Parts: sequence; C-alpha cells; structure tokens
Amino acid sequence: MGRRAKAAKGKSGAKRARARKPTKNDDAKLAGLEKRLAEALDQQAATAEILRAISGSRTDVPSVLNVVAENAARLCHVEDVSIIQADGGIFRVLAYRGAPRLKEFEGTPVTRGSVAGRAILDRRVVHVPDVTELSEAEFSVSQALVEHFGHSTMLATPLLREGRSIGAIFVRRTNVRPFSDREIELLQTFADHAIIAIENVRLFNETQEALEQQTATSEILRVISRSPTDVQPVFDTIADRAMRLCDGRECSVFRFDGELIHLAALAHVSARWAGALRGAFPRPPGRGSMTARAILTRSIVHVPDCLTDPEYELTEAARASGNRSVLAVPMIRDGEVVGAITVSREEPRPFTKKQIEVVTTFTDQAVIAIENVRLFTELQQRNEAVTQAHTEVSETLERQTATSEVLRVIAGSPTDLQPVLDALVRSASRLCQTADTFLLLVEGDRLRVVARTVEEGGLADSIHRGWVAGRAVVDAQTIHVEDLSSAGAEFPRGAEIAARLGHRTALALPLFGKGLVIGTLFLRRQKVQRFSDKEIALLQTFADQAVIAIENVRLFTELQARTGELTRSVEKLMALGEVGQAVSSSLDLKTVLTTIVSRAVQLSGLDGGVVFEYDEATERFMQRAAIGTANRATAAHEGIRRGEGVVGRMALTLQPVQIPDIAVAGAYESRIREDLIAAGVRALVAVPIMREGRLVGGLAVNRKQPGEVSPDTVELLQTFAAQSALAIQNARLFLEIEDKSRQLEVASRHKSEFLASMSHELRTPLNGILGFNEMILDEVYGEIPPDLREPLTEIQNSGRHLLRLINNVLDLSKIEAGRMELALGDYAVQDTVAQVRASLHALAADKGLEFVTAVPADLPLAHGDAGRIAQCLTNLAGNAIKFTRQGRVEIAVELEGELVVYRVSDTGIGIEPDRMGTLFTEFRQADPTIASEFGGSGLGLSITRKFAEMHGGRVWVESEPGRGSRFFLAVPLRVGGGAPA
Amino acid sequence: MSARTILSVEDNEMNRKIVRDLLRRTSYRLIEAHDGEAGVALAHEQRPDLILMDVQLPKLSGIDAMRALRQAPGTAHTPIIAMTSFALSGDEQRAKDAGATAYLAKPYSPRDLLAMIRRLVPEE
Repeated sequence: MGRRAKAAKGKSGAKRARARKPTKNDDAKLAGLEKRLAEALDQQAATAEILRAISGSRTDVPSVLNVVAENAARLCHVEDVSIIQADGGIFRVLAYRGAPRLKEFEGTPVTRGSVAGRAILDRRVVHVPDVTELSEAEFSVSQALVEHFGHSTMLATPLLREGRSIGAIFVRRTNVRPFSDREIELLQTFADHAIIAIENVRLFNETQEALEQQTATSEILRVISRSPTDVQPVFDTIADRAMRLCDGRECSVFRFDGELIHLAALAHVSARWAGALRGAFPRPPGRGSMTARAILTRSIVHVPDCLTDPEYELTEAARASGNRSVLAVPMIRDGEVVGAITVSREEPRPFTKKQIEVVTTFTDQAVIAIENVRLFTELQQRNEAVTQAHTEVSETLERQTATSEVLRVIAGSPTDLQPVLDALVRSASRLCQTADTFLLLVEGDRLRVVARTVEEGGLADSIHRGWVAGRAVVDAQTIHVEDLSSAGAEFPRGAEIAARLGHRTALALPLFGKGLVIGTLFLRRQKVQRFSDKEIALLQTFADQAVIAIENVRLFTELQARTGELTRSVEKLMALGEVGQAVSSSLDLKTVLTTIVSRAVQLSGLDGGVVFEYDEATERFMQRAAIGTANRATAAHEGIRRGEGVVGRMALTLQPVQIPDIAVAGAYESRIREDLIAAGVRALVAVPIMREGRLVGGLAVNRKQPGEVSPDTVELLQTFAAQSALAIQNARLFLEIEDKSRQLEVASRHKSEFLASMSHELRTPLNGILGFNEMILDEVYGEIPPDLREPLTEIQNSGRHLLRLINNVLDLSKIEAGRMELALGDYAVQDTVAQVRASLHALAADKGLEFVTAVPADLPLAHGDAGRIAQCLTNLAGNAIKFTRQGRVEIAVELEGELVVYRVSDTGIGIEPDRMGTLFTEFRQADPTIASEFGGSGLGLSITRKFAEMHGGRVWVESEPGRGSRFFLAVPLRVGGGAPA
Repeated sequence: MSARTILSVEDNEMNRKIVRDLLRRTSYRLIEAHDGEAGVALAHEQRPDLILMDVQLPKLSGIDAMRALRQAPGTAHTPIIAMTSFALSGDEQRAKDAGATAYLAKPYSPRDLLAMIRRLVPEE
C-alpha cells in the first residue's frame, strides 16, 4: 500500500515534468522509474513461480522452499538465504541457498543470541546493518558465526502462523549494505509464501495421517468382529498397523495374566530380536523391560533411547538388533492391566504425541477384543449349561409320565373328586398289575370305599387292626402281607375277606392329610407275589396324589363358599351404600323409601315389598312405597290396622313376624288376604321400623314361594328398616324445619316492619323536641336566662343521642331483613368528616375534650354512600367521646393504595382484649338484651361493620385497657369500581 | 320588590309551627298548605319563591306533588326543599328524581333549614 502511494506520487511528478523542457535531472528520474518497473515485474514473476511450485508439489516442502530461497536471494541481492524452522526449540534448516555451511545451523538451540533466533522469539524483523557493531553480549551466537562465515549485514524475518512464530527466513550479505524498506517488505512476502507452503504440507500430512489411522482402526475393528473367539488375528493386525503408523521398525503385543507377561504377537521383528523376546518372556512386571515397566507402572513408558536407560536389561539384544526408541502402552480394562503394546524404532527419535495416541487407541481396541472373546466364551459356557439343564428336565419329564394321567385328571377336575380317584386306582392297578385297587376313606369309625378298579365285592369294615387296610390306618404305616391265607392269626378279618374275594397278597398304604390318616390305598393280588420296592414307591406317589386331590377339592369348595359369602356381603354393602346415599341426598321420602324397599327385595331374593309409615294417632299403617307383587293389593287399602295381618301383628310385638304360607287356613287374617293370594303371594315377613324406641313404620316383604325366610334375610331386612327409620325421621324433621322457617320469616318481617314504622313514628316528636329546643337555644323566642342554657343544651344532646339510637335500630332492622341498600354517589371525604365533626363538636366540647380531624387536602373524590360513611364515623367518634373522660378524640384519614382508611382514636378507657373479638358482632336482632344494652356501643359498631362490609371494606380495633382505642374503618376509595370523577 | 314568599306544605301542625317560628324574625312571607293537593293548588295560585315539601302527605304524596309542580310552567323552576322522616337510603334520590332542589331529613336542625333557605332564596 505504502509502495503504491509512493509510485502514484512519482507519476504525478512525471506529469508535471512533461510541461517543460527535459533536463538531465529528468533523465535520471526516468531511469529510476524504469528500474522500479523492472523490479516490480521481477517480483511478480517470483511470486508466480513460487505459487506454481506450491500448487505443483503439495507434499514436497523442500522443493517449494528452495524456490522461495532462490527468488529471495535474487530479488533481495543477498549471498545467503536460509529458511529455518524452530522445532521444539531446535533449529531445523528447511531450505537454503548460498554457503552449504549454513546447514550447520541444524540442531542448534533457538536463542536470542542469534539474529534468526531473536526474530523467531520476538516475532519481529531483526535487521543488523553492520555485524561488527553488534554487542557480543546481545548476539553471542551471531558474533561467533561472523567469525566463521565473515558476513556483514544480516536480517531475519519471522515465519508467523496464527500469531505464532514457527521459524524464520534468514538472509545475509558479505559486505555492509543495509536492507531497504522495500527489500524488507519483499522478504516478508517470501516469508508468507514459505508459511503457506509449510502449512499446506502440514495440513496435507495431517489429513493423510488421520486417514491412515482411521483406516487402521477400522481394519482392526473389522478383524475384531470377524474373530469373536480368537484374539490372535486381532493382535497380529494391531502389531502390524502400529508398527506402520508409528513409523516404527518393530511392534509386539503382550498379554498379562496377573502374574506373568506373555508375548502374544510380533510384527516385522527380526529373528534376533524375536529370539531375545522369546527368551525374556514370560516375565513378571518390572523395570528391566519397557513392556514390563509399562505394566508395572500402569502407564505409558516412552524412552527416546533405551541404550541410555540404566535400568534396561535387554541392552545387548537391543544393540544387536538396533532398537533405540521404545514406546510401551499398557492395556487397561476396568482398572486391571491385561497387556501392553510396544513399538520400537532403530534410530533414537522420540515418538510424536500423535503416535502415542495411535498406540493408546490400539490398546483400547485390543482390550475390546479380549473382552469380546471373554464374553463369547462365557456365553458359550452358559449355552452348554442350559443345554445340559434342558436334557435333565427332559429326563425328569419322561420319568413323570407314569403319573401324568392322574395329574391331568386332577388338573381337569378341580371340583370333582371321583374321576381323580377312579383314574388313580386304575393307574395303580395297571402299573402294579394287581387284580384290584381300592381307595378307602375314614368316615367316623369306619372305612368307606370311594374308588376301586372292579365293580364287585364289598370291602368295608370298621377300623381295627384285624385286616390289612384297617391296620394301615390304625398304625399309620404301610402294611404289606405276602400271603393272607397263612396270616389268619394276625389278620383274622383280613384272611376272611381274602378267602371271600380270592386274593393272597395284600398291600395297604395310609393316606396322610394334615398329619392325620384320612384313608388308605389298598391293593390285592390273587396269587402270592410281593410288591416290589419300586412299586411301593410308585404307589406312595399315588397315595400322595390322592391326598392332594382330596385337599384340592376341599379347598376349592371352601373357596367357592367364601367367594359366595364375600359376593353377598359386597352386594349388601353396595345396596346399603346406595340406600345411605339416597337417605342423605334426597329429602323426598317416597324416593328414598322406594330405593330402600327395592334394594331390600332384590338383595333378599324376594318378590315384593312395601314400606308403611305408622300413624300413632289413628294406629294405622299407611303405605309409603311399594315394589313388585301385591303393590296394588296394599295400596288400595285405607291403612292397615294395628293387629291386622302380618304388619299389624308385628306392631303388637315390635319383633319381626313371618308367615311361611298365607294359603294355610288360619295362618294369616287380613282384609287383603284374598288379594295377596290372587297376586300369587305365599310367604310374608314384616319387620318393625323403630326410631328412638318408638314404632314409626313397618317393612313388609313377600315371596311367591311358601316357606320361612332365613335369619340372614331377616337381619338384612332389619338393617333396611333402620335406614327407612332414618329416612322417615329426616323427612319429618325437614317438614318441621320448613314450617318453622316459614313462621320465623313471617315473624321477622313483621318485626322489621314494626321497627321501621316505629322509628318513623319516633322521629316526628323528636323533630319537635330538637327543633323547638334548638330555636329556644338560638333565642328565636327571645333571650334565655343563663341558668337555662345548660339544661337546654343537655336536652339537645340527649335528643340527638336518642335520634342516633333510633337510626341505628332502624338500620339494623333493615340490614337484618336484607333491605339495606347503599345509595352510591361521589363525595368528598373532607366534607363527610367535617359534617361528622359538626354534629359531634358540641358533645365533645361539653365534656371538655379536644376533638380534631386530620384529612389530607389532596384526597381524590370518593365514591360510595356518603351518608353511611358519615353514620359509621359518627358511631365511632360518638363512642370515643362517650368513653373518654379527658384528653382528645381524633378522626384522621389516610389514603393507602385504593383504600381510604379512617382512624378514630381516643385517650379513653380502652377495651379488654377478651371483648375485642366480639366487639363488632355482639348485637343480633334476636338478642333479648338489646333493650338493656341500648345505651351501649355495640349496636352502632354492629351497624358500622355491616356498612363497611357493604362497601367492600372492614373495621377493626387496636386497644389496650387504660391507654385508649384506635378504631379503623377502611373502605375502597371508589366502591364498586366507580370510575373516578 | 315585595318580600320573598315561602310555601310550607306539611300535615303536622307542630312541624308547621317550627317553620313558622323560625321564619318569624325573618323578612320571608310564609304561606301554608296541609296536604299535597292543597299545596299544588296554592303554589299555582301564589307562585311562591320557594316550597318546603313534606314527602309523607295525605291526599297527594309529596313526591307526586313535586312531579305535578315540575310539569306546570309556573312552578317548573321554583326551588323545592323536600323533607322526610323516613330517612331511608334512596329517599333523597327519589325526592330529587321527582324534582326536589334540596333534601332535608327529619328531625332537622332549624338552623340548617334557615341556612338552606337563605342559600336558595336570599332574603331581600
């Protein structure tokens, strides 16, 4: 940019020059311009060449940098150029032009003692016009070089990438000739080119490397997935890829079994080194080998040159096979070391961070492979176990086949015992090849045959030890008799039976149920042949199964009975719940009673029912609700007399009465008997409906089936009767309450009307009293004697007080009657307070009290019933004056948000805490003490509270006995949201 | 100009006497009527400067009397002070709706009444 500006300036100068005669001076200028043009062209050509080189050889840094160096030398007129990289604090010469000795920079440390080092470290151009003038202290390295190389002017420009200096371009001249600004600028451009070339290659290499790594990783993963049972191929692949990616010469993979390290895989290992490794492994973890050290320390071991490691034990072999740099990375699974990967190379060159990362990734993959194989093996072992278990189960099942028929029958008929027992004896006979099998059960003191194989011949007797089956039961053990014909002495009864039925060998097994003998399984053979142990064992299972079947059926039956019971009680509860709900939710007696009787009939499995209400006065039962059969028969009737029929009879005893069959002559006498019989009714039950020991009705139910109903049903009916009693009682009470309410309402209205007209009547004479008295006081009738003024004033005050009381009574009556309405309108709080003050001023003055008001001047116009607010304030302030002997009474007003708060405070007697709670609610219209409390404060406070509430506000008090009171009245500024005026 | 005339319509003698006594020392001229009908008739005849109207009156109620007065051209704008001893909320509004200029609840202060009269019809 600066250059271009300079050039433009030069051009305009040339234009001016053209206007006059050319001079020598002009020629010189022209020559300067031509020179510059040539330089610019040179520079462009150089840049183009460099860019071509960059794009043509992406991967070959030195060749590109050589082009850069060459152009820099030419264009900047220097003898030497070197492009240097700072690699980990060490100079690396990437390209140079000029003296070959410059290559000797290679490997020396980057310090501020050299021009290039300083350019790199300070990240700025360092220009030394004359080396001889350099201080030795500052540029020690450069000084030394000057002696060596003999150059005079030097310059170094840093290679900056993202603000970081990665190297420098160093140029020098052998004679003293400082670099011009333009030359410096040019060198910076070359520095940029060099950076681009280096960066390009770096990026390319990085991408390439990443690609190689990914390829290797995916290859390993592929191998892992291909060989789930064997880690060897995985290790082989890992060894090979690790060796390649780490630029190593050899790689080996090791396994560690917790005690010893085993060589697992080798890649491109020389025969000599392989032999050394085989000799050194297996070995325990230790420091003598890098692999053993990595496993011991559970961390990466990286040794740039193993020959210099004092603890290394394989030095000889390493030297012989040329191993120098070693990297060993442990394999760790769940915190346990399981092996290691070790890479080595023949020259002492450290592995890069990236290479270490690659090997670490490989160890992870090796761990995955190991784990895979472990899981696979485990899975296979499990599979084998399952297969074995399966085989065992199959065998067991086969062994069970003999008894399966019985089991099937048991499962098939959980409720019916007989088929099970039949199948049992059949199977027993077949499997033991006997003539006959019996199953006998204990019944009292006898054994009863419940199942047998053949259908003829009896075998039943009392339980005693004289026969085989009897003895099995008595002794509670298996009795086996080989030949009954020769056992007559021991089994007299048994021998007798054997002779009759024609058998010789007999076997009886006891059946145990809950520790008791409940029966026996008895088998007989017509010829003498002992039952084998195996047969007895099998028969024992049959005996067990018989017991199970018997027990099953018993449990099932029990369960069914329980379920039935439960269902019935649930139904009962539901019905009662429904009835209860009907009783509590409906006041219509007929609805409730119909619900009750219909549920009662339904639940008791009856055909119809009626609820009667008993009228004590006429001693008759009146039908209130009916359902089902005989509804018409009873409804047509004008009440059932006491003593008549089933209900009437119940009324005499107050106990449930049953008539199992009304068709039986003399069993039932009633005027409706014929009607009932015609309707098909046969059985009747009546239960009393009692309330507090008194008969209030009856519940009568009927059934077409003759016969008594169960005690359960009677009990249920009594429950329903109790509910009916409640319903009847409720209905009666409700009617009573309704009637009372009506009466009360009328009385209340009368009272309100009376009070309203009374107060009107009282006002007229009061108008006379107050009017004339005031005029007398105002001396309308002439001057009054001074002595009269006080009593006349007293008359006036008393009259006003009386008026207030009358007003309060009237208001309260209107409020109680619900006829009080507010007359809403806009009003000024100041006016209202002033009006209250005016009306009470005299009263306060008479008692010598200070009476003040404090109303803010800027209060907005309020909306409400001004008259009622004034009345409230008059009540509060009037009380305050009344209960204050000395001091002051104040009405203060404050606006708190949307509320106008009136505070009436006094220095009076105060209020006891226990009275404060009820202060505003003491008076009720019905309160008989109203007259005696007439002079009290409560009436006014009650009204004040009502008015405050009607305004949407409230009143409260703060007080302490002896320390005065503060009454508060808070009402909305604009009641009912009346828009501000 | 002759003295200002005030018509008092009131059925109660005692109340009439209060007004009578009150105005005795003033320059106002007082005329009286005992019921609503008579009040309206007298107003038409005498054209008073101000009317004191009791609300509870025999024959014709004060409310109806005021409505009648407001409809007649001669008394349409005559100031009327309505007075009632019922003092129910809404009474004032009802009286004003019927045409009352001002409202006074009984028992009233004669002092206040006189002030109100003087404000509406200043003494000559």
